[in-house]
Amino acid sequence: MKDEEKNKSVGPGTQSAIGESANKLLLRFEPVLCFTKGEKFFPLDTAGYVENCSLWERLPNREAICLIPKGQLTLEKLGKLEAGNPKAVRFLRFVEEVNIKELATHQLQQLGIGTDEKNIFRAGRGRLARVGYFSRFADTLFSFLLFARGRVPWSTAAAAAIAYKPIEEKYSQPRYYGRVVHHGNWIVLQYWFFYAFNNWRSGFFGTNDHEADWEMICIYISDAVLEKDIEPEWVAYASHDNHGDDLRRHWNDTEVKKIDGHPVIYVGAGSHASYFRAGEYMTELPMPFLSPVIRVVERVQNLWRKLVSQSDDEETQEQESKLLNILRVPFVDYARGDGLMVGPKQEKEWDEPCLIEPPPAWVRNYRGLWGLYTGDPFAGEDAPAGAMHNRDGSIRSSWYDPVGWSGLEKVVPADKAIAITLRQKEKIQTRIETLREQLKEKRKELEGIGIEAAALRLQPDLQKQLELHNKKIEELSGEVKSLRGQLASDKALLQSLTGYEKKLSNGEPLPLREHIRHEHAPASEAELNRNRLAEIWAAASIGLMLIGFVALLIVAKQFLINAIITIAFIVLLIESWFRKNFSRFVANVSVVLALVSGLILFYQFFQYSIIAVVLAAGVYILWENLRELWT
Amino acid sequence: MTETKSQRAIATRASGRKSVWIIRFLGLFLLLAQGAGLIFGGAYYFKLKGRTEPVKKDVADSKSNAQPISSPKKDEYGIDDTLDVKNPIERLAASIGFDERAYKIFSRVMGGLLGLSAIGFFFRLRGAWLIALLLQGVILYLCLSLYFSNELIPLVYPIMLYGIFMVLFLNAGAVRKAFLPRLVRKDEA
Repeated sequence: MKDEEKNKSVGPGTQSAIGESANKLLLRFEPVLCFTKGEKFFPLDTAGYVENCSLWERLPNREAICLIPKGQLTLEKLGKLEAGNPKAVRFLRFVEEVNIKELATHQLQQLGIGTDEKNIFRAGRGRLARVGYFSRFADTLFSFLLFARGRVPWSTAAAAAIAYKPIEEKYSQPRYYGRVVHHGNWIVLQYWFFYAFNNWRSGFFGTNDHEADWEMICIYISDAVLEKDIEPEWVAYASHDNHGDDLRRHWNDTEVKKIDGHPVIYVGAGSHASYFRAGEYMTELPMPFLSPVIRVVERVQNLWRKLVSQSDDEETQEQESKLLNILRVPFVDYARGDGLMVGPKQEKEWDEPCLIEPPPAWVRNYRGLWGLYTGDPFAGEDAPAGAMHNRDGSIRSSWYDPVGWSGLEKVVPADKAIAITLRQKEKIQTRIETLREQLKEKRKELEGIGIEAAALRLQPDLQKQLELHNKKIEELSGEVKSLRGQLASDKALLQSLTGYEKKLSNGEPLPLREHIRHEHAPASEAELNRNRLAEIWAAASIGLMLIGFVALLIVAKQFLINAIITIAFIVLLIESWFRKNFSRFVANVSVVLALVSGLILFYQFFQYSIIAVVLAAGVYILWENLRELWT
Repeated sequence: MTETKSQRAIATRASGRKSVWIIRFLGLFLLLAQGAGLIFGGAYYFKLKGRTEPVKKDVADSKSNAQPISSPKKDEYGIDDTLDVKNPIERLAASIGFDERAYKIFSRVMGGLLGLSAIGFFFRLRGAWLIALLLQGVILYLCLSLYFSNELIPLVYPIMLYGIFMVLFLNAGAVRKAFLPRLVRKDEA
């Protein structure tokens, strides 16, 4: 039903009107992309990429077969492909052969030898120190897991960079793919960017590498202002697989930087995720298999807080939620914006926009992956599908529902807000009237039955009838109570709507950031400037601890457990000192030890423990009763 | 007669100050008692143990009369040579038993530190609260190590019980409030 409504709202007249002005609209608000130093891949023309790819197909548990070799593939051919085996995965392959000599030269350049100094990426201080000890441990484990998982080989990133150069030279101007769609109350401008490679892991200490990368931003304009002086109202940037309200910002929000009316995007180095602010973003990868552990830890924490009456301490709760974050693998997404800038009047300017609405055949028909399929169970190392599709061939929500994707469906354009508020007020007013009528009727009924019951009470032989009356009175009283509650809540709602309408009519400023629940903010200055000692400790501690364990295993087997616990404790104590949560760590450890000791005492002196509990309960009850007596 | 807001605030602040003083005295007393308990309680325990041991020794001697006595050979470090251990570190570790001498050292060090933290606690120093908590952790850890090793002595149970009580006391909302400056500021605001 909802989808039908959506489709209805896209009137053929409006869509054709958009079609005529789509190019103009896209050009007017085309974004400025700010990259980070060291970035190698920029928004590219898909034609150039596809020409340098081969097409493959892989059935489960079989070797991949090449369907179209490199040099013979075009966008046109990609659009005309016939549907294959539904179980098979079709994918493009950008990098096939690796030239050792070219690779060696490239690796030297990676190290900064023979490269332009201005374009070298440096992780900077504090990357490791910014994440917790367990997180670093999980990070190490994650890296080891990569050996077992399907992954893009390390040389592929380098080979991709080498293969990318001639294409970049041929298609020197970066390109975006634009879509302008009418959806509900909004005209949505979608800008899609295609990158030949995502080298987040190999180039910027991130979580994955994969061939091909599609990124997107949306700009939302009220459909009522098409003919007037157009100004967007909202903008949403795609960032990893996030969706919903948190991606969206108001056009007038100070966080949305603009250059001559063009929104500025800070692009994550290697990952190409889009951010509103320049900085270094901590991205956490949850580990689903650890969720039972998290649940247990949460329960123990809640129990402890109740036991020592710490429930009112919000800061403690916040710190404890941070403690749970150690069960996620953290990565840093560098979106410093200190590298190349692409956009109107920038170092590199956009090529003519390429419209993909209505979708051309290569967008619509090709549902396969746009790069190497590695078979990674976490899918992080597999290439994505096209702008329109998910990896499983289904349509992306950001494609068919760009308004719902950023949680904008419930938001009304400013120029329609007053009308809709009035409409809503009228609706509530009508509901209030109906409720009043219902309440009147019910009250009358209740009064009548009340009188009947009072009369029946005087007749002892009619007790059964009285019981029925009492039951009905109870039911009706409940209904009256519920109606009164509803009426009171509707009145309050009406009052709020009146206040809101007044604010709208007076043109008073309304909060622009209320919808944001979890803001993804870059690391603060303090986090970036952790001292050198903390950084050295962060880099060396895990390795040293593991070496220490092995040394103990060799020389002091007898005291192994005690020694391991002591070493781990000392290491964690130092870690907590650097992370400025020393007292919390000491408190947590002492609590755990107290719990274990308590269990042991309970086990050893079971009978006495029961006696003590009963005795304590007796004393407590006695105390409470006596206190009541005295007061 | 209704109480004004400021009157209520003054009353709350006064009662808060009173409870902080109670916490200070209570903390001082509890920590000193713990330190004294560790030193004197342990001494008393070993004294009692000393009294009962000769009896055991006599029994052992009477038993040993039936067999020739073979005292264990000791090397130049005084370590029992018959111990089934391979390298010097293991041999050294094996020679360390939890005896009266070890306990004396442990209890005196801990007692001293507990005394210091008690004084700091009285003067409401945040570090004292932290040290007191850290010491409870060390005491409980040692008790647990003894419990799980062959060196278990009944003395660990009362020490454990007191340690648990102290952890509860030090982590109680009112005590934390009195020692964590940030929370105090929030409260007073």
